[in-house]
Amino acid sequence: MSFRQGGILLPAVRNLQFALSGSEALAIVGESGSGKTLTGLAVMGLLPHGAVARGRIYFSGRMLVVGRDSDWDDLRGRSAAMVFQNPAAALNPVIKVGRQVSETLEFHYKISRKEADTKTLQLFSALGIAPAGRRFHQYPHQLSGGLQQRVMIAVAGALEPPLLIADEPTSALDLTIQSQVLDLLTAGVRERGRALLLITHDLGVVARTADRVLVMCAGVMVEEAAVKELFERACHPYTRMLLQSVPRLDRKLSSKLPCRPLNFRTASGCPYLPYCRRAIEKCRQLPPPLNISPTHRVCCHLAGGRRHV
Amino acid sequence: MSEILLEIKNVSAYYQAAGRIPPGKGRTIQALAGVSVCVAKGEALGIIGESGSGKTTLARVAAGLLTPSAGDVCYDGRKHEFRRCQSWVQMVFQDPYGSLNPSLDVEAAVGEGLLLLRKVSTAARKRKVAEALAMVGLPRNVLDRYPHQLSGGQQQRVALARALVTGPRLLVLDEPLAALDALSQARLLLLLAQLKARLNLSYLFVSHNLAAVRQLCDRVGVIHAGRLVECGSVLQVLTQPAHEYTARLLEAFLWPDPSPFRGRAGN
Repeated sequence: MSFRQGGILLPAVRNLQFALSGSEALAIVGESGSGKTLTGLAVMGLLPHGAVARGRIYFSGRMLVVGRDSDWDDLRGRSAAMVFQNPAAALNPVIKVGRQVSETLEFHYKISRKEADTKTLQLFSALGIAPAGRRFHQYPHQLSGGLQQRVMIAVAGALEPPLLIADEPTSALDLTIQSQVLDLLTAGVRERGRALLLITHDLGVVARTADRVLVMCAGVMVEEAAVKELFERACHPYTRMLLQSVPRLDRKLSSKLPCRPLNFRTASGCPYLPYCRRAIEKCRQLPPPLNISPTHRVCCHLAGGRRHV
Repeated sequence: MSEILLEIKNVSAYYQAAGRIPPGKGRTIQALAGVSVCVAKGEALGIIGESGSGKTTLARVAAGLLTPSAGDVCYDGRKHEFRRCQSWVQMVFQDPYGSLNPSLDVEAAVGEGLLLLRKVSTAARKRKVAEALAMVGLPRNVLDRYPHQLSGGQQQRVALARALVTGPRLLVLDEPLAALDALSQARLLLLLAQLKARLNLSYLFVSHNLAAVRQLCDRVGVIHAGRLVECGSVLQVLTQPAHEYTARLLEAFLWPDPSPFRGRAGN
């Protein structure tokens, strides 16, 4: 399974290209407004109105034209599904949560309601929504945030889609629940050979969950690498700043970080250009990705030959 | 030992349970059960715990927004009186957009506190508003903008400016970072640390972000099921937790580092 995607115009996402295979978790990391959520929506064929998009996505060898929503009709749900950031808003507030899952099963598998309900109960137990029998008959507002997100994962995973897209799946949850939900998502990758596209700004979530990371800045991919390589040998100056900006338990934040919000360059060239201390004339044009190793590519004119940019 | 600014003594708080209650269960829910903490002048106290543990209730009690069912809250050695203290205890909330009045521009929103709590002239108010915005690193051109025209990070800075404008000595910060992305979080943390040093402010910093607490706070209290289970210096509590619940929280912390010895999910 592979994707290829040209830019979404004006200037949310530019020339993004990536591939994702089964049994793999790819994280897209970036700040608010970096285009990571739009990327996820584009993969699902759910771009908002007014988005002008060009490009192609290849899904198990099938070509989908970005912007032609009908291409996705038989893919959504069965082949690709999405877990949203805010489960309380994504679930239907007036339908019992059990029914929200069994409805999907009934519709897609053409089975009786009773069979669908039984399957749903099994699914709930497997996802730790306990006691399944009682939860089945509750409404979303009667569940805690963690349980709501589990139901969301049940809805998305009901049809065993080979691709799951999770957009900030744990930002609304507290610490102890976060790791449980992430474990559920990774279990789908490790045990069922599912592909996971994880969209997040939280590098702690990335380190725990992802196999590969793609860093976006102002709609541009600046770096992509295996998770260990990225944390240990980040090449792009933006990635380095991002890594330095994470508060940690074992050291204080560097006071060298810029205190004011940054305005990245969105028209052309490298988005980090206004802040890069080593920028050269060539940076006014966006560099093509450079392969540093088989699992590491970076979009920087100064990377590669000169490692310590 | 520096002087104590805020002292919370044996505070308990109950909520009336809403909705249908199964028979045999009480009608009240205890959110805090005999919690005592204090914050010294110029000190930042972190409060950590999971959802529903009572952190926010404690923050509301400290800010004077909630009268506890039992126990005392003292500021500067005197018993709390809402009116008198309100200008020097201020609160910043989790959701910046929800906590700003959508129909007030930034100048009015930040100036509102002065209008209510301090008798100052219009000119002095304008000057103080500009000072507060400068303190939080916002440019002057945001003065006539409305909340929806600002980014999340800017909104939270406006909320911070609104809290600072009355010249408080204690800021109660209830999950101020939760709605922001990683870089905005880092910037706000650095700003809070700067302000604390410059104005000798005290913070009660409620968060479930352990790393942020580690950055900003001097001491930290751990709340579980309405009880303060542990309280001590940040380094001590976060490296050698004495209570089993603190250890569990630390275990759940997502290290921004994939090194193998930190352990990954499932193996």
